[in-house]
Amino acid sequence: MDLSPVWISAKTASVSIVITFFLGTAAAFFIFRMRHERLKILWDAILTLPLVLPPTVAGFFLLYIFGVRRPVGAFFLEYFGVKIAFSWGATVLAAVAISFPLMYRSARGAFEQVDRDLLDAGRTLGMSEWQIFRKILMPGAIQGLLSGGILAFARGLGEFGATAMIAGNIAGQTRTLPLAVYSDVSAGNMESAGRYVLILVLISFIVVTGMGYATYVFQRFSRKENR
Amino acid sequence: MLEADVSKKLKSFDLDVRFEVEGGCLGILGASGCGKSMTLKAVAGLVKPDQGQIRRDGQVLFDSARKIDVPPRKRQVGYLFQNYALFPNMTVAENIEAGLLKGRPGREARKERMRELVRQFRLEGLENQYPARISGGQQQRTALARIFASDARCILLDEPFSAMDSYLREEMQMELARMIREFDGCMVLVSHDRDEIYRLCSHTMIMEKGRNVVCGQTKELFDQPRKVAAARLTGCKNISSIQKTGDFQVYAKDWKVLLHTEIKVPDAATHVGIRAHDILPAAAGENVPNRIRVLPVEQVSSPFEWTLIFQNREDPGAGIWMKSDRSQNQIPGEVTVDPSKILLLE
Repeated sequence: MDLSPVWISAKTASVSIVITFFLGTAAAFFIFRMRHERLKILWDAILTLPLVLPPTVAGFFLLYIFGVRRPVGAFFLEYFGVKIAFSWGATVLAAVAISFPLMYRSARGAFEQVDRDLLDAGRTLGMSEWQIFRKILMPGAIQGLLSGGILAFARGLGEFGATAMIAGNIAGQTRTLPLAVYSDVSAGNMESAGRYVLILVLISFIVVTGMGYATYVFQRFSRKENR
Repeated sequence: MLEADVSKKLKSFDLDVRFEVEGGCLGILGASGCGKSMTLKAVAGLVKPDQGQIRRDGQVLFDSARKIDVPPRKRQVGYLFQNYALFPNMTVAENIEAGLLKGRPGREARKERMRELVRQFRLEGLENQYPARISGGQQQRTALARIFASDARCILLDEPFSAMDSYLREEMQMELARMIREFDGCMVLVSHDRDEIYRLCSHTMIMEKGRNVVCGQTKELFDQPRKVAAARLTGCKNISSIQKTGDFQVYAKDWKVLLHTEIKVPDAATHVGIRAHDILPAAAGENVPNRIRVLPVEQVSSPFEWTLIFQNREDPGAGIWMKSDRSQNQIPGEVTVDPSKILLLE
């Protein structure tokens, strides 16, 4: 069995979740602080779009931006000698683009459920906005941020459509687990595909169970505090 | 010293208030949703008024004309939230220290001041407890200690007792009263509970739909509310529109009762009010003014109070409320109201 898809997927998922976590949290904070209600709705729609569009459409846009002959892709190739499309980096790009809305939405929900009075209390007590963010907002939102991160991780791991579009399906380079399943099935290697499927199911199961367990522990912990 | 004169357009009404607090505690009494909390938030800088000025001890905190809007953390205005807004992820000690972050004092100085406040607010032994695990009274003390830590020159109290049962409430009011006496800045207490205001505030402002109706010394205001809204909010159960029938005589149109007053009826008076406790049973044959024959409608007993709603038997109109302690629980044949107890209202 070729194990390279396992490593590629592991690398892609772990690198992309770090990027997604920070990008998603930052975007959520930006929208959370936004005063203009209509602009807020517009931005929210734009940032959520990759979640509801077919991944191939997202992939199309990524190609449109980062393709070697497109401005951004050409710029990277010319000035940094980095080819983005159809390289390993593109699998990360696709995973980030697709998992970002999940992280963003979870983080925004987490920020919004923090009691506004707590933030206002911090302000009247003389805390700076940065201190409020670090000491009140983040601790209050951490549970939502973590579960959003886990969801985004699982989504990034399972990314197929956009990856196929922008990264292709190059064995040993951009062939992630979902792509390996597809390739094996189209070549008639059901047995090999089954093994990849098993690995994917196993990882996803562990991740989702882990999330459930973490929530359970959190709740028990906070219930103890509340009593 | 706090002076505020602010206006702001809100969804259901326009906020337009002005008040001054010299020292001590000003009470703002109003029904829920009349703009009381909004007023406090404007003073604290949590809500931006459309227009006006706010000054504390001569320092301008807000001035729409001069485009001055000092951020809340620099206003030195403390805010006690309805549920105290203690940070749930911090211990009592950390909560108090959160008020000491401004100006970056050293770690040691901060701990020292925190310990001082813990002593002052009798929180010894609770330093490492989380807010959710301490009692309501301890929570209130922690929140106040935290405000003192932030070096507030003025403290705003937003319905601090509304979420409490009546037993705890009285205890905490006592405690707050003691603290108000010790605090040398000024305070504003917002509430819909007249008892609370009466107990704690030297001056009272009455608010209705975003505007201040009357303002004055608390005792005076409760004795002579002058305005219909003020009478209602200070707990006057009986209010009727009137027709002036003489210099010392009015006809209460709602109750269909003729009443004699002690003071000359001003032309501006449109209503009279009678507090339910000022209606007393009249012994037969006794020569008392303002006799009304009773046609009972309903009576209710609570542990320490007896309430009767009745109409004028001769010409039944709207119901009149009478309250007394429980020793009096016989429906009287006739009642009387002292002319000095008739409140003339505009």
